[in-house]
Amino acid sequence: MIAQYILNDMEETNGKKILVIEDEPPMREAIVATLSQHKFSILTSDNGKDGLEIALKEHPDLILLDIFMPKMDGLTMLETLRSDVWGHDVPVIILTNLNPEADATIRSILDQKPAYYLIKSNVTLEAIVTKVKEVLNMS
Amino acid sequence: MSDTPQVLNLNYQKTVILFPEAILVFDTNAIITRIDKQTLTMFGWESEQEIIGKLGFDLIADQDKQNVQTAFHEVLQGKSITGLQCNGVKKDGSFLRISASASLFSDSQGAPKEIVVVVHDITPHLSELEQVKEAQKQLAEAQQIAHFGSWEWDISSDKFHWTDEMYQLFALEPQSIPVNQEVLLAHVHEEDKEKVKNFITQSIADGSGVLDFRFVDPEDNKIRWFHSRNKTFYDDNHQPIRMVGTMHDITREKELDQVKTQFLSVASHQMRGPLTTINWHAEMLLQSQSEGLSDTQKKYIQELYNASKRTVRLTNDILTVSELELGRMPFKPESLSLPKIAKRVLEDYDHKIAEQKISFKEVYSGDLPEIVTDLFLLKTIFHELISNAISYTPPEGTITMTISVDPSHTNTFLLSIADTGYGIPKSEQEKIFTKMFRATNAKAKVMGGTGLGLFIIKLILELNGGEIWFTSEENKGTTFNIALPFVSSNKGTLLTT
Repeated sequence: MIAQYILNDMEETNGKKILVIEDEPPMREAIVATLSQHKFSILTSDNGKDGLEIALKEHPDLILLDIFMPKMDGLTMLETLRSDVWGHDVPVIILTNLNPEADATIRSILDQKPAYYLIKSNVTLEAIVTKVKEVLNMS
Repeated sequence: MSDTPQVLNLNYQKTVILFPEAILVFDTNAIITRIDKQTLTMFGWESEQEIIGKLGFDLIADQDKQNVQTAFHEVLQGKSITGLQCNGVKKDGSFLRISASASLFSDSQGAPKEIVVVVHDITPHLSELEQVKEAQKQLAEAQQIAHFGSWEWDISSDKFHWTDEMYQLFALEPQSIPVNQEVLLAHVHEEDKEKVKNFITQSIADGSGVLDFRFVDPEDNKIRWFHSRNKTFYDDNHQPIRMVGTMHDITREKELDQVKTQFLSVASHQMRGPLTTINWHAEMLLQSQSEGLSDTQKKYIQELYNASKRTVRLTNDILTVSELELGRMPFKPESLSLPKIAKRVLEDYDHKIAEQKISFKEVYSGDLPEIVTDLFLLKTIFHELISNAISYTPPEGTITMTISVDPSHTNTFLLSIADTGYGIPKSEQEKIFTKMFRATNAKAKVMGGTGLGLFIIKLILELNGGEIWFTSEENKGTTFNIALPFVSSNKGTLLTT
């Protein structure tokens, strides 16, 4: 398992736990660095399969989910996650470069709320943090 | 020629104008007894002596001899022959095509005496016909090779004429059935039937038209794409009398075009990955206070960041065009408030408007009903129009956005965005909706444009109903007008004109 648990000093965190599932290291590291600055505690995974396992074990407050990934893609991961009692309601922000408008599967999965959608190339890291805080009612 | 009856002379006067005519007189054994001068010319003989006394059938090509002999005997029985066509033989052995008429003359006792034959040389006439036939054959072959048919419609009698290849294109035996609108529409794709009907009516009104539509081959149910062009002809009172057109199978071109568009779509998606990495890291560098970057270094990073963001915009526009052209853009109609959506899009530009000190005026007429359309497509239209107006208006200019109900068309909104910007040069106005086109003054003043914005609006309006037009004067400003139906349609596939 290439999952990684960024251990923050509990006193320094804002008390919210975010799971970042992203296979590309530079992007994952940029997100992690930014979320850390905002005092989130962070879990990471580089594929949907391990990400699902971590999610069901650690029950994060929110999941940032990429779509195209090895082992298990983000959409399959989300579908499985939603069949779990806890996983059914956990907020998920899909963070991908795939156009949601162009894909019927994505559109239907987006209907399984609470799920949100951001296109990586069109958002700043700051905008991702804003969205996370908004979904977690922190703003 | 003193013995030649009067009636033959009259005949001669009349027909010589049309074709060379020769007169020959035969005895009852078909021996030539007398001829006129034209006979010599026609058959290539030098003197009467050479030909008088010959058997008449010797002037006829072998393959036609028997027919001519039979006809001669019938004339001997008293029957007149007119317009018998056969091949004659000249003195030098070459052939000519002749048409012969013959009558029997009897002596005073009523016994058959001689037969007078009038011969027309129809070789020139025939070769013209053969040339026409040859040209028709070549045209038919060319049409078959190119999968290119042509047709004609006589509007007043409602009669169609199709070339053989037209029948082939429509999966019919050439010239097997009379053509009418039903035959034409029988296997046109269900979704395109209305389009084809409208196309014909519209072409009568406009004088010409161009349309791509789908045809479902009844043999294998495969979709074929036809490209159709036509032209209408009118009488002196401007009544349409005739329409001619061409039909071209462009299935292969459409497939190639799709492969290209799909490639663009995949490539654009792939490009977003590295661009994201560049953007995010530039953002982190610019925001970190403790890293000790100099102002110059920050400026350089800002340039990298700007360039990367521009590339993202271009990529996004290419993707939008690809999705629209592939017909993959989903259409989810919902009731929306136009001013609300306009304001929401406008928020994204608040910063730029303030920065450029632009005065942005919004005029929404009261009692605007909700529009039923796809949110993403509607937002795209606003985005493209607003960002264009801001980009091409110098600081301290004015932009006025007006949304109202079109007074001259029922169930239509009128959306207009007027700026006091650089304007579009007159000579370039007709190209402004062309893919990747940017006006020269726009290119000189604004670096980031993609030349796709107006093309995208036009694509969306073509697909979902609506129209766009503009007025513009250089260095005075531009006004874009859009007519949007209360309820947008979803035509699904694309008209490429």
